[in-house]
Amino acid sequence: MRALILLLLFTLSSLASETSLNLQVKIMEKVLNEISINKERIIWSDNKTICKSFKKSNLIQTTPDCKQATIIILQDKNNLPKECAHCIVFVLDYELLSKVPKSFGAFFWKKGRPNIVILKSRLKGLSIQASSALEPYLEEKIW
Amino acid sequence: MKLLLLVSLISTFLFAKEILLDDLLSEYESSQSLYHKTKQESAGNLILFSRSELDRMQAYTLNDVLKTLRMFSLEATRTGMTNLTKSGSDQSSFNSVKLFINSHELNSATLGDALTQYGKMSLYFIDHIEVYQMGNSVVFGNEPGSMVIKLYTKEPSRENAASVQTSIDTRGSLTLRAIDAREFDEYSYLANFDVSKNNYKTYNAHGYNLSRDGQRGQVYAKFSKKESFDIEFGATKERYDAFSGLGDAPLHGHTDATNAYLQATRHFDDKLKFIISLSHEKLEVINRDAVAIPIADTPRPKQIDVGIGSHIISAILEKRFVHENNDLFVGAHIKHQKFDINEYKRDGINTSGSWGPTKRNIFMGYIENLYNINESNLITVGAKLDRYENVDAKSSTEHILRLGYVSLLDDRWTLKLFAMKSYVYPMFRQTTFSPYFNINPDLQSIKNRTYSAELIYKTKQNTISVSAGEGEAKNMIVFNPMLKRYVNKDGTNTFQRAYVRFEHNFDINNKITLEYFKIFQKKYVSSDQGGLIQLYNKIGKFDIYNELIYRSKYESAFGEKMAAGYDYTLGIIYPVNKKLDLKLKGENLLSKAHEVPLNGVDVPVMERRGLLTMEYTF
Repeated sequence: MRALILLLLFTLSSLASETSLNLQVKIMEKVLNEISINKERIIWSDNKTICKSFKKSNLIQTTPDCKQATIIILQDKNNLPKECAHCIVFVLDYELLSKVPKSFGAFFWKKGRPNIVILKSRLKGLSIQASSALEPYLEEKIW
Repeated sequence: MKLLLLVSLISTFLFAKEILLDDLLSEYESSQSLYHKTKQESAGNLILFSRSELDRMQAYTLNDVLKTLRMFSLEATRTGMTNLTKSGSDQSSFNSVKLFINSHELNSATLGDALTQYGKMSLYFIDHIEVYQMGNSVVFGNEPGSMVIKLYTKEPSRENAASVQTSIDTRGSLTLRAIDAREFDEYSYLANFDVSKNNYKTYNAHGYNLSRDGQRGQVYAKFSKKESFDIEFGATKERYDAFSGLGDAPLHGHTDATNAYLQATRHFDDKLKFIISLSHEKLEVINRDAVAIPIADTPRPKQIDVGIGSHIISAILEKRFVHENNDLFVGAHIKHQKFDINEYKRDGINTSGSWGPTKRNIFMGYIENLYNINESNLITVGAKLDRYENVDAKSSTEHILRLGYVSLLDDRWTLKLFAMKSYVYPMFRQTTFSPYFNINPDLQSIKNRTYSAELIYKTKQNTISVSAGEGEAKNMIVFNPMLKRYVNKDGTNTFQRAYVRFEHNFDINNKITLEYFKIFQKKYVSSDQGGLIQLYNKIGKFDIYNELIYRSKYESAFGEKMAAGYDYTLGIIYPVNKKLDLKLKGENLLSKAHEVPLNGVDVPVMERRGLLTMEYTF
């Protein structure tokens, strides 16, 4: 396997992917740590790679059972279990903000850049407080 | 220079701060850059322009990138176009640079060099650019070139937006660009539209006005199904004044160029693909002169009208076999080229002549193998066999052999060695048709060999590359002024080249690039040395870009002494809000950029100008 590393480096793939996943999780941790939800933060996600990486960094608790979660990180609306509708949701696709009423923020690509958007109106409705660090990412409504 | 140093020093002190969410997002963006998927370190000496760099450089046209390339100088031409000239040589020297959008080669069969025609191409739909110099890999297919420039289009899943951008400059030039790219389920599309009116200074030579003003329009569209197919369409139409034309007393002249292509790629799995493409090109030139236009025959006319074009059909099949430590790439390519000479008039009278071959089929087969000797050493072997079948003219078989070795000496040091034996096939205007000189259908290809070594030292913040190389060419194609046609020349021409490049990242948003190069050859008729300073800074919400391009003084082939060129560019971007960006750019601010003598006047590619751009994202 180690021998393959160089081959991959010089052909198609990139070693940056692992760093990239760590950064992706770091960004979400930073966002979730800047909100207060009056409960312990326990994460469930339909993206198992992200879930694994959260678990590895050990900053926020994760669970394999969404019923025990307090925050859901959602990639695909079809993967949201009905029994977990009580949780607040952070989405990985901007379009999902309008499709998932319990979503309060999104992490997505637009114009070639990763973006964070937190919806002010949803924060209020879902009784979430956001710290001043998230101020630059607050939006009044969905574009 | 002082200003640059000052900004550099200030930036060193300003940017030590705690990691903010914005910085994490920038780091994430960098780690996810699309070039990680496309760049091939083993394919040659690589110069990379990432999406973020192109944005911050405010690189609106391909020329904004080309002018920074080492070993070349971007120059204005007599006919109002631009040309990428090899350092030390002049514009008449043979220079085969290949230009690709994704896997499609932008052909300029009639001009031979795509860069003269695509220099003003808008980059609004381009994500990143890879430039491969010295010993390019055979996996790029097509006819070989001395340098390969790969433009990769934006990825719809990363865009999800429609944007418009408009620019106005201090000479009254106006540009409007629009792009829309989205992904829906497994399908995606990208559509780009661009129109521009380009104004330049009007020069006066012996009482005659030299104008190169022009208009340009381009469209590009791509429709894809994930892991299944891509359909791409691109078209450009351009009309520009002929500047001096070929004579010295221009009265009127312009060039009308139209290009269009359609390409379909079918991905059978991630290792097998089939590409079919159609290209069409039309070029109309009118050149009227008060005295005479210098052509091969007499009497010399005062006006010539030329209408030429080409049609190209191409099919490519490529397969990759990855097995343990081995990566084998195999490809086959068939290309049919047809040239049209629709009109050739001298002083309004149709003129016929015996032109060279107008139909050609090229059959190409290529193979490249990458093999890991062990975890730190990679060897690459490539070969390509090309059969040129000219209808009603001599055919020939050419070949390319390439060897490469890449070694990670330790965590910081990388060594790259390349050796390549290749060829350059003569161009349409040398073998088939030229309004200005005699054609030579019997021209044979140039045989060349290149050797290069590159040593790279990389830490988290610094990258230093040092490289040296040698090129030799046998059977050179040179212009014979007695016969007034291109001929093959006996003997061997050699040159050596060397460069050093240093990149320092102050942090994720602030970096500096310093580069110096030199060409060594017997005779110099253009700048033999050059340098580049690029400084990227972010101060508050402002993105600031400083660029200084140096080209050494030189004496032209006609004995004109030309001063050294210092092309200074300053760009500032200010995001007003999440939807609106304001951008200011000053080009050739010192008014000392590299110039060439054309018909008695010294002309840079771009005169000093200021540019205001607004970009709105929906």
